[in-house]
Amino acid sequence: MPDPIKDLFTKMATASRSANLPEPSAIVALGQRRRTATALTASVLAVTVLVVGAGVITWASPFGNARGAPLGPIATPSDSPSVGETSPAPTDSPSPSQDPDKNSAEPSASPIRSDDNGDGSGPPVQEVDPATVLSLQILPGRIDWRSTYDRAGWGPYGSIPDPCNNEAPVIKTRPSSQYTRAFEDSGEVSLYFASATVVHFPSTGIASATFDDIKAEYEQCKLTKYYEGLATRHEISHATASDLFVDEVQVMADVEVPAHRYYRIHLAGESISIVSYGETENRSPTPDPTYANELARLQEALLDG
Amino acid sequence: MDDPQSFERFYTDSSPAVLAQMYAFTGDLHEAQDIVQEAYTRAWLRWKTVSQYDDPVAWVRSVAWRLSVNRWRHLRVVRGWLGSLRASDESVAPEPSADAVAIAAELKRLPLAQRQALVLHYLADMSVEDIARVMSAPTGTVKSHLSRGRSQLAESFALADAYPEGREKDFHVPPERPLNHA
Repeated sequence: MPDPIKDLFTKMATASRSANLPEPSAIVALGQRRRTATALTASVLAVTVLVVGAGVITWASPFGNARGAPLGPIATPSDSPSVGETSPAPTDSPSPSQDPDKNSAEPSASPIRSDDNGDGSGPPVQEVDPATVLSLQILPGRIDWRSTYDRAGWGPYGSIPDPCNNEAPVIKTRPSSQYTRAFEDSGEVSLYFASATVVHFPSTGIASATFDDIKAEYEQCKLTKYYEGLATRHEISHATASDLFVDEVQVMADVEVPAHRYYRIHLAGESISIVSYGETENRSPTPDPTYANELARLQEALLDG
Repeated sequence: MDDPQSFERFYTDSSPAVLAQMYAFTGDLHEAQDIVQEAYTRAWLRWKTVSQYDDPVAWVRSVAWRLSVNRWRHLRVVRGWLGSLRASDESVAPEPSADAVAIAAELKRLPLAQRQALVLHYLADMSVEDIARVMSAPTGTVKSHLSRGRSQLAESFALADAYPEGREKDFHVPPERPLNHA
């Protein structure tokens, strides 16, 4: 029996043949290019940026207008003996937003601080092999990540503190949390996202937040909104944690949800599930029913594209 | 990222179909191109794993689908870079036919789930059961999406006569639940 609708789709398929997809070699080249993603760092440093490339985690931020913005690499343990040794105090280090000439500086020119409280008395900076990074945690005013680098403690964690407080960037280890256990159990990698920051974390190990509105949020210290959700989906195991970079974090719908809450967003096939993990401080894995409406709204927005 | 030859074969063989599907889904050929390019790039980045799957195209399609649904913003960057790599200038590529444009416009008016079901059915030649798996939905729901989407398209293109009542059995539609008026 003829099916005219089928014919309609056939016409569309025919029309799509006019499109020029890249040559296969171009796709391969793009993949290679992403593997060496650090080359892109300089182009995105002017705004809030987090770049995870081969051998280095780099960030830059528009926050810290008054004092030094965090800007610098965390090199791989094997090649960064100087990490944490040459960092100036934040008051001595103009932020990118203060000094336009610095905005395009390579991250290696601005080493990270060596302590977590600004006076040199803090613990030494932990070095992170980006290939082991399992998750990033982007909170209001803070970016954390988790790595398999220290298997025993599921550390190190890194964090950039609240920019509105003009605190020095800190890198410190923390004990493992329920999140890591949940991760272990499920075999999934989730990013816990809660901030007015858009982060793009594609397969390549590139993560960047380059949106002017988000930058404005930071600059105005209005860090009380969660605009976007991030998620990544995986079937990977710890042994192939570097594959984290092969999947994607996707920018979700613009939905305002309460601050200081964690959301765990799973993308599995076409299904999306969102679970609130409660307040930031206790990090309870128990879904919080009081935010069912927000979650439902967010989920609906996600599904609607 | 080994074996670029096998990936290139895979890309060459399968990308036109995936592109057609994404075009039908997004209604925008350029956007579909970007999405397909990105999906295949990701496939290449983990080709060692993806190539071992029973159906690597399904993986690519799934990635492409998510990209399109979530309006992945990085595509702007990819578009800029990949645009220079295309075999010929887009400006000289033939424009899609009026029919194709009209179909794309009508498809975009359909709810996302109906559009997805129709594309998978008509362009990916997937069974209702397979579509149900992809969409993580019951087969009855998929049939409903297919039937309603097809009816909408048929109405838009004055093809309703081609789908008499009997043909609705193609996609059995569960009875609608009565509205619960308070």
